Amino acid sequence: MLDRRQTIVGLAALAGAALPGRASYVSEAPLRILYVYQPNGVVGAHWHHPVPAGPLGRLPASLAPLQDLTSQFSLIRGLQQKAAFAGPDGAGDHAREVGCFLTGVRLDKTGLQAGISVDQRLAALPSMRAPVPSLELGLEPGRAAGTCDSGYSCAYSNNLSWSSPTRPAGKECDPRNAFRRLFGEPARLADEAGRRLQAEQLEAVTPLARRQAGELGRSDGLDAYLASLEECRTETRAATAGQSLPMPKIPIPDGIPPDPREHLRQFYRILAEAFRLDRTRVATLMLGNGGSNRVHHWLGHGEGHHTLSHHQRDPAKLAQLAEIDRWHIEEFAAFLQSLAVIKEGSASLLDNCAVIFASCINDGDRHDHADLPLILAGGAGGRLRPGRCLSFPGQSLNALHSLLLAWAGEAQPAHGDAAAPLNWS
Amino acid sequence: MFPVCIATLALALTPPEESGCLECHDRESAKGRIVLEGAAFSQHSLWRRAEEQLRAGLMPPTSEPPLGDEARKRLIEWIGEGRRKAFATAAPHAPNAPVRRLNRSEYEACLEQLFGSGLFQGPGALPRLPADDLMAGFDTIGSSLGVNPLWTRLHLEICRSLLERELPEPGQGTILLAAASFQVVEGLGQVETEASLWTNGRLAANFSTPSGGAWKLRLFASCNEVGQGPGRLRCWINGKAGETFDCDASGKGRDIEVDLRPGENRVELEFLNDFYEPARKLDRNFQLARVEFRNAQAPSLAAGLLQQEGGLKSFARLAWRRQPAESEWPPFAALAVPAPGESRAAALRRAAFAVLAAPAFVFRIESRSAGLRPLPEVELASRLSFFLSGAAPDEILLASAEAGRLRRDLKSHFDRLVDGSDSLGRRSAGLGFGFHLLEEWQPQGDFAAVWKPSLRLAARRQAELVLTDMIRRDRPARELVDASWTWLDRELAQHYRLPWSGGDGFRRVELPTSELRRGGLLGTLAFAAVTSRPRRSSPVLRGSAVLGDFLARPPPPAPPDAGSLAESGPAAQGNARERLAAHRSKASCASCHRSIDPLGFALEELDPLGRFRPAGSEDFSGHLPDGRRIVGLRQLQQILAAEEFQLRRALALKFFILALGREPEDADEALLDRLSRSKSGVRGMLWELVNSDAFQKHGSD
Repeated sequence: MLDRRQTIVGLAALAGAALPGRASYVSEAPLRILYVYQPNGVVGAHWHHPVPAGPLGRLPASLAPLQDLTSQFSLIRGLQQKAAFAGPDGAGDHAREVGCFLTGVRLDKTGLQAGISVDQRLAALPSMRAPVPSLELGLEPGRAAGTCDSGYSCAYSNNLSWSSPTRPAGKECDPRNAFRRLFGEPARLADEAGRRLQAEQLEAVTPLARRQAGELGRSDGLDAYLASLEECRTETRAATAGQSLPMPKIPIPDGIPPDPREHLRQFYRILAEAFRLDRTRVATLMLGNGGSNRVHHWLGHGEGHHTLSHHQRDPAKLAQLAEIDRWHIEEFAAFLQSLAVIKEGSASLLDNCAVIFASCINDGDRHDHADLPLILAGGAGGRLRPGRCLSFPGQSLNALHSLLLAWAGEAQPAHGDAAAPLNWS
Repeated sequence: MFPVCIATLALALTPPEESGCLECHDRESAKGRIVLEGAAFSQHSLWRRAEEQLRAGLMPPTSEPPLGDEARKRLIEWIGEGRRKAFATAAPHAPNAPVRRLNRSEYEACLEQLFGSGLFQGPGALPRLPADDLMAGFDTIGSSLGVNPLWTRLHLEICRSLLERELPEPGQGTILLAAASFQVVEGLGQVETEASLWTNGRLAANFSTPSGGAWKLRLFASCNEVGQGPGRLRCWINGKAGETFDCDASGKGRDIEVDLRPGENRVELEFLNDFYEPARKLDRNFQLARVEFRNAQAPSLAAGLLQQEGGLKSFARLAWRRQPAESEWPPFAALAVPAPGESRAAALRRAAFAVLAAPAFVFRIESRSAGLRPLPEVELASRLSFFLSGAAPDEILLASAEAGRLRRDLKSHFDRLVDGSDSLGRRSAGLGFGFHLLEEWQPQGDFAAVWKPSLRLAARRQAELVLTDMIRRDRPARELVDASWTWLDRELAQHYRLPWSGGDGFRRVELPTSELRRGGLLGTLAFAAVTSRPRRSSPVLRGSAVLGDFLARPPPPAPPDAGSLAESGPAAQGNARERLAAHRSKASCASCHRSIDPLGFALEELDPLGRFRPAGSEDFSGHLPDGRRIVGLRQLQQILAAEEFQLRRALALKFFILALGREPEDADEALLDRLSRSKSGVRGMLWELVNSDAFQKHGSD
């Protein structure tokens, strides 16, 4: 357990500006925010449990790939997501780990009712406005086994991002589609006429769809469809507004790669380009769906991630789980590195990002949603001084979400059970 | 003691007072949150579960005094009687259906009905929509079928590419290759205004096509008519040789049917019989003037309609599954009028695009009724068609409904749809029994080498065919677990070590009496695989699948700290049976595992690839909660076959969700009970469901 003194040090350190000897500075470059989600929890003994509050030193085994980057991130300990605990709802922690992570509310087990997720709230703020309002990515498509988790709709375990309490924002699993959305249709990148035609068609279609829907009466599904038609129209308009789209410096992806490692790397490359070219400022990336049972065969594993996560302290299973954790951190470290080498004025792209890597389960065998493993990387445009382990025992994960909302200029940053941002003064 | 309010229901049978149910399930104790005290029989689900628990021997629990066989039987009858009386007075439950988006498989089927099959597979396939989130294991429940910009963007792109392909600009369906496009790649010759070969050899050209499939190659070429007979040529497409054919001196066009792929293609023309006799000045050369490719595909239903005068409205009627209303139609029709300088095809594409982007295509929209009324026939046509064939109503069904004859001719439409499509069998096998998981099941070790893609497809197909056949031939539900027949192809027969003399393809076979274990779904590769881990079979997964998918009594999910059986390492000491026995010794685990494990042990006779483990290699025995001993798959099949009611209920639940797109509520128990109790086969059950108030009516809410 971490004591109160450490907590205060941690709280103070999160706000670099509050510490003496550091000038208050907020970058003029836009803030870019990314949430990377790992399902099923981690092996805490090799991840966050042994790290004391204070400056980051030698990192535990699973975090070791980040050793060279200790000045670029903070390890945040002690946060919990109360909404994800079973309470009266019983089993279903894998639906809740994902469904509650960014929404911060309890999920309706019998129907479909969550809350607006923090990334979608961020995307709606003026300071976060970009050609593509938000990007939702994932490695595992939305289909799943049976009822997914203990009676919860699969929509919960498959979706971090919710654009309304009843509507997941969906997630893109095909890197080619993500590329296309950000940078335009590859075959038509140069084809101005094709783009204009597309725009004209949409201009014609949208009012007709609206009119027909109007005659049919209101429904959530119809409203969502009309809203998304409108969004497509806005995007296409922007794409035909005259200026040509910036050209990304990465190859055009060719569908979903069969190798999951390549799949993940392509997404990280796309995210780095999207942030560099300021095509989007808010993104989420799901490394797996809640309770994912992906078999990490390249690590020599024979059992799926979820099966292993119910390890019952079996050393062989714990060792394999730690290998999965470490592999994810390796790829994440390479991604941070790629952001760190991109210059933005006198700083780096990473300095202007807030990248969160987390799980909403601490130990996969116990399904607990407290002392969550969480890395906050980047300088958030000068708002953060990375390089420490900070501890907030028992505080709500939603307070961290709220902090990001406040940074992005939200006047009412309360989120879920957090009435105010993490408080460090 | 049973509560007065129940006892006062005039019943021929009275509950045995000594049953003791209320010791735990009175209002005060409410053990397991089940309160039977004062519960009326109109609490359908509660009493159904009570009846099931008694039947399965799960109640009273082992910690309580046992109930004698006679007392148990009387109690079950008493509950059954009470429930049937409650059902008899229950009001019909047929709520208005909420607006719901087409799910991915319906969406693709609707477009394929209009534009031809195979749109979403193979080279040049259209992009696919994101997979739908499942709810209650199915993709038909409206509240899980959300729409977001991602979905809409893909939907619009699919429609746009489809219409560009189907309604090309005039002339776009023809590709002209002048002689100058060719190169001499073998032999001697030259390319000028004509391309010539002076020796045996080849001319080749690369070109690209907007779409693949059947094309007609028209060759304008000549060969000097010298020596014996005409010249011989052969056409190669993408490295594949075609038939040889003659070439005379006339230079007339000659048509050859070829199969092209979308995008880049290569054509080669091979000259096979050069002839040269300098002494007699006889020289046969090959001269090519040009090559044309014409798209030889018959236009799709939609393209055919759209080309006709006023065809846009006919197209919209099929796409929207109803006649466009006069009030909504003019703006759509206006889009089809070409702007100055615009081609007719471009205007049609725009209008057809608007039709497909309209909510009436994307959503299943039913009218709402303020009181219980029969569903309008056109809407009933959609319900029927999406349920039985997984797609929109075809012309016959729609026309019948528009003429108000659908209800009158319902039986013949029902028969036509059931016999004409295997969609329901496929969906039942896929989501209903979880065999869609075969897609992602990846065995390891020795199993991996056997698990070829063709075997995986065959495994899935077998299950689909068994279910389709059970529907079509109206087989009893017990054949889900115990049948004297199955469907096989050569590969599966070899895999199962069964004799095969059937040639290629699948066919139904009668099983020899020694191989009855292969009848039904339990002894199939598909079942064995989806209930296995990558390196071992799992008695727990198997037992749970039997309880949930076949007996409609799914065990509750395992608590988080339940753990799983280890693959290797110290925790793997002892076999699965011993470790499960240790597990059952925990009271919290025992209540479920005493139902799950014996079923799973009997199924251990199958390895992860559905091959039988030799008798005596392991212990396939267990004790059911009611004390009966069970050894091996064959005995399990026989015991399960006697559970006709639960087997029927399991099927009825699946069909209910597929038919109505909602999870059954308490008020639907009467229908489910009727479907589960009736003596008909599976087809009869479907017919009963289609004729129920829940299916035929709306507005009871």
